[in-house]
Amino acid sequence: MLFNSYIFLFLFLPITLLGFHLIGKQGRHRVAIAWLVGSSLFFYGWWNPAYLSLLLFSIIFNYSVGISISNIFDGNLSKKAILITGIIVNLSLLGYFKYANFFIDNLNTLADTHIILREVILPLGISFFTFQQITYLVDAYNKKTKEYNFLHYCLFVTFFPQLIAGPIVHHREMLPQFTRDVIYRLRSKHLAVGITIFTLGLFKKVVLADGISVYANPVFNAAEAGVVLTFFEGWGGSLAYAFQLYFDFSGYSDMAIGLARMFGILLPLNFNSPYKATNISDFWRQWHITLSRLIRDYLWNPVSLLLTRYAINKKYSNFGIFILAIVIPIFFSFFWIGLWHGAGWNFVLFGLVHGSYIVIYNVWTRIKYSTRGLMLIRSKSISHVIGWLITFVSVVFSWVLFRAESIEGAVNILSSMVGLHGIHLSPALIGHLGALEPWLLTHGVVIQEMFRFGSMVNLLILIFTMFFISIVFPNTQQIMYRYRPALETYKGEVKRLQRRWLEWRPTMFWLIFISLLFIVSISRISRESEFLYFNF
Amino acid sequence: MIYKQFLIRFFKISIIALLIELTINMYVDPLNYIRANTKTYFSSERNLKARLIEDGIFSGLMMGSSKTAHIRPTKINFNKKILNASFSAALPEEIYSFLVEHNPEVEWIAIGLEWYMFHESRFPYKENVKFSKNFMDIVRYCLSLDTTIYSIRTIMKRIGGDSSYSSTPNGARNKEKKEAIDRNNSEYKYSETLDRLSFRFDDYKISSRRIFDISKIEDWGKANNIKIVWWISPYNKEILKLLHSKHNKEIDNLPIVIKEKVSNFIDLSHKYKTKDKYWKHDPSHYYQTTGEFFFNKNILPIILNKL
Repeated sequence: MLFNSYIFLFLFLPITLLGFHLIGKQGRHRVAIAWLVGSSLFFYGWWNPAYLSLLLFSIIFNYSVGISISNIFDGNLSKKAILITGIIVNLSLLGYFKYANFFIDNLNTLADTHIILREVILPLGISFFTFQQITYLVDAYNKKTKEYNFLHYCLFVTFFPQLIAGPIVHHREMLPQFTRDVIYRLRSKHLAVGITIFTLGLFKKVVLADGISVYANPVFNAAEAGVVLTFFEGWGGSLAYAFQLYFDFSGYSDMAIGLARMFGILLPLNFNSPYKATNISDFWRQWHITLSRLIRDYLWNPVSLLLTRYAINKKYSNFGIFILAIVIPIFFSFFWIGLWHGAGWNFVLFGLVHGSYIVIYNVWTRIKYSTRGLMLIRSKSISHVIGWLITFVSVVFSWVLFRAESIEGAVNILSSMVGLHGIHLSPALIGHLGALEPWLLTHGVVIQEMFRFGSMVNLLILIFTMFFISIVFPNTQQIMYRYRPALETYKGEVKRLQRRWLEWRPTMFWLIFISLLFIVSISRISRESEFLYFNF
Repeated sequence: MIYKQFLIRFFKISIIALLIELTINMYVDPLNYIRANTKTYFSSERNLKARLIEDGIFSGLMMGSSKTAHIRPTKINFNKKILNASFSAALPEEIYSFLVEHNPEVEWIAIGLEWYMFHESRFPYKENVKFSKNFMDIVRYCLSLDTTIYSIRTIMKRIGGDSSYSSTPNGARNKEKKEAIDRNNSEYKYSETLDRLSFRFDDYKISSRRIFDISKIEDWGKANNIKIVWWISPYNKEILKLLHSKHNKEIDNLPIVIKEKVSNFIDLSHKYKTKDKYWKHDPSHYYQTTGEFFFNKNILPIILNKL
């Protein structure tokens, strides 16, 4: 069931919401939680009921392991052994369902074997609920968990707004909320705030993301088929995809946060205008925030700490410490970020490219503050503009690897973007370029349609509109700032608007605006299109 | 305004607006999706043809792309009822699904093929093609903004007494007036279409999946005792020149490959190539009269001989 489907909007959501609050109102909180867990399992089973058993097994197994770990005294070897077993079982399930085919394909290529594995269908949200529970086990080992009730634990894993594509929630954030009496009462304030956030997300998904996808998909499909793309097709397709992914994921995150809010529950912020980032490090603090947090806390920090200690003990030079404590943990973390997104070399490459971006940025910050000649760049506004441009373009390049189905397809698009396929000029422009025309023609510009996958004018209008919305407009969290729409991961990460009149309040202006967005969005659900992050 | 008022008003506005949209679209039914409309101005050929075949009894069926859709069944010298079930940019897998899904009880089916239909990199293969509509499809149609826009335009056309319906009752495109106007135009406007088509023919490769679909249609016809006649549509000489300029063996091989798979086949691609048989603003489509002429002359004899 998709958030952007009539079944969800007009049947599942109202029934679940009303049922939860009607039961909760009578003071039967455990039954209300059970209702919500049951509804969430129904929501999950809608795609493929067969995978419900996998989800249930994962919940029961991890809850039992967590309890066992919590009940064993520190220093006991079996505590570590149980944790390692728990992690291995989780990773094995994930490995089988998500990476088995990838592994076998590579093995067959390398060892010239012919092992055939029957097609394994990826259970939805497996990466999300697996990692969410691994962090629970690690925290149980580090004595950071409490004795949680099983029903609450089930809701922590299955809560439908975040089950399929995040945010990846932490037990510390969620479980205490389930014990608050206030969530069981239907409050018009939460409902109004939730509906507003949800509507903003729905509009981003069905109008903006789905609207521009018709330009991205044909270009990437053609690249896979070996069509030699023009410079403008390369850029048009990759920018269209960059905005499709942005509004798809941003829309999904808003919808998840809005839905949770209707139940009086706050989810962590997952998306905070990443295309406004002025450096790549900021980008990762603003894009898929809960994944970055998970990788930072459970991968980067331990690995970096371990290697730093090792480098200091061995008395390595500053350069050696930099390599061991910074570069290796970065590449290690980003390798896993890439692989987390999908079983393919393009995803691994995507992760490694971002790892190298971060390393370059680290080196740059060190040079910047130690070199006098770079005073100009230290000027904040110039530095921000240059930094933003480099970050945005780098990210757009990396999305090509993310979207392409093969390395060859990605190389095809990237080659066109850097002009290796030449620059083309539409025949319609000939005769209108004045003195520039002969110069262009003598410098290798070829007369050919610049964009063959639809109307270039329409695409440009869409790109500029979306660019404007993502770069200039306030984001959902800023608009809803007065109502604390989501839990913050980094203190003060949502900057309050100076123009307070732009902040949402239950006024006539916002009523009309949100109603209009809702009506248009409902009228655009002509086909239910899945969220891109459901694939991960 | 307090939150409760905000919510009540939000639901009131949304529900009333959506109900108005739903009612208008159900009443006007601009694309003839739910049989509330008898004269459609706007084409949604795949839906319309599926509806027409469900609602009538026919002896012959024409299928193919937009070119074939131009042919008027009433101008074919066959004294029983024919439906033109062709639709724009039709692909073999769609034709197969259409036939299997509706299982028409006809005596013969004539199918017009073209080069583009077998070029997967430009026309991606469509998996799980479906023509039938379920309840949710109808809800989506009635609540769609696109439908609303068509409804408004339909109402405007009805008020203005416009008779430029997109389709005739037996499935052919309504092009009679437009053909007369086009014939009187003195200028040929080919360059834009030729540029677009040139791209479509680049890297041409015959899709084996689609050739297999042709075989499946042929087998389906035999199993249901329905004679199937295949032809490759006539092409304008300018387009033929373009096709040959690609120097691609796959292009030359298409008629040979199809002929191997089917029993009744005729290649008309080079037979009616003079420019006067084609639209002046669109070299890729022949006039209705051209289509009807070659159908009567070349296709009908095969149908009648074999029946």
